[in-house]
Amino acid sequence: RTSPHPSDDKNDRVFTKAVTVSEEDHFSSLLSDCVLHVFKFLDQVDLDVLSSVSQTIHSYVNLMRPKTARSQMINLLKLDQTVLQISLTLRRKDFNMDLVSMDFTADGRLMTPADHIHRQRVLEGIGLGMPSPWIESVPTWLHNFVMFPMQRFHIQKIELDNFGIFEAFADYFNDWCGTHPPHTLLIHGACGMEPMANKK
Amino acid sequence: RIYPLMRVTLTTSDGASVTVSRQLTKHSGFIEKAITDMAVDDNAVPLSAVAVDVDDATLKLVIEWLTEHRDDALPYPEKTDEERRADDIPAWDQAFVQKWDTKEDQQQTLYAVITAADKLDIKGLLDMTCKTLANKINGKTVEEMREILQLECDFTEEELAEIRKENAWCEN
Repeated sequence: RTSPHPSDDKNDRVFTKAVTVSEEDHFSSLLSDCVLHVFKFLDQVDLDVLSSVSQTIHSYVNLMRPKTARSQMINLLKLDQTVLQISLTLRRKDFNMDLVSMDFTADGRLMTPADHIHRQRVLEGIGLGMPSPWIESVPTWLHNFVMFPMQRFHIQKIELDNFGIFEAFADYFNDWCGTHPPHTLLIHGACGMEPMANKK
Repeated sequence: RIYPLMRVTLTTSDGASVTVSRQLTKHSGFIEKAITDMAVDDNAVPLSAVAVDVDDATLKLVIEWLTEHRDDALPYPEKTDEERRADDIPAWDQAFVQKWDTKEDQQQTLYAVITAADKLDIKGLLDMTCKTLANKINGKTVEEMREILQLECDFTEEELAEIRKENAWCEN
């Protein structure tokens, strides 16, 4: 049996094959209200997996994204900026996942030796009290990279370490914590500055 | 006010008739509305049977659940997205589902009860059965979910790769 393509993909994605419903597939005969009600008891991480199951389920996932709870699997996000790289770590008590460590420049390009030397000089300057040249904005790539786990996990504590370059990101998180309580934002300053805690 | 001895007759989609107490039907938004729409006397007794779009076998399961939950508080408490959880199904309900939700049944009865709970607007039963199904797929891989729900992959390899890239975190 086949049925028409789902038309409610929020990305207006058109799939190549027709939707397939096998004889054994009784799930697809459920009323859409019932399927969406089942999805209410799943979390964002389950939806990530479900979106690859079938076209019909993929459409339901898109509908449920804004209404689904974030996963409790992870509750701490740590962003650590060293001279060489930016690393993102997600944690929960006995579980530590070092997700990504990337060698990036301020605009998201992979670092060259020249970039590395330039960044080192900037960080030394910040340590001596000079203003960061990249203080004004948060690069889009970094914003998207960090917001992915924020949307999927029930993050309760955010730690920013050595955030000399992207200070604007600290302001961004501060605002975010204000609108998504309860969260704790812990900022460790660049180059040995005393940590600043801001509990919301 | 609902009088415990008041009874209402329900006719099923396959022609059977079942008479039940209003103490049970008060948990069904659909039946209560039908009774209200039909009732003309002070005791709110319906003039005729209420037709429900549920077969006899499924309705019997619904009535069994309603009998156990006849004293549950109304209105049914609503929960927010963050408060909602699937691991709080009462022991009686778990045993009730295990009686008929067998591997051979391939979840057909579960789907029938979910659909009946939705049509009859019985929020507690709908929540419990949907939690049961959610618990079956929670934490599973894509392949395991397909097997449980008996769904076929109708993506091309390229589409699948693109979707997996969008949700890359769950792949590792």
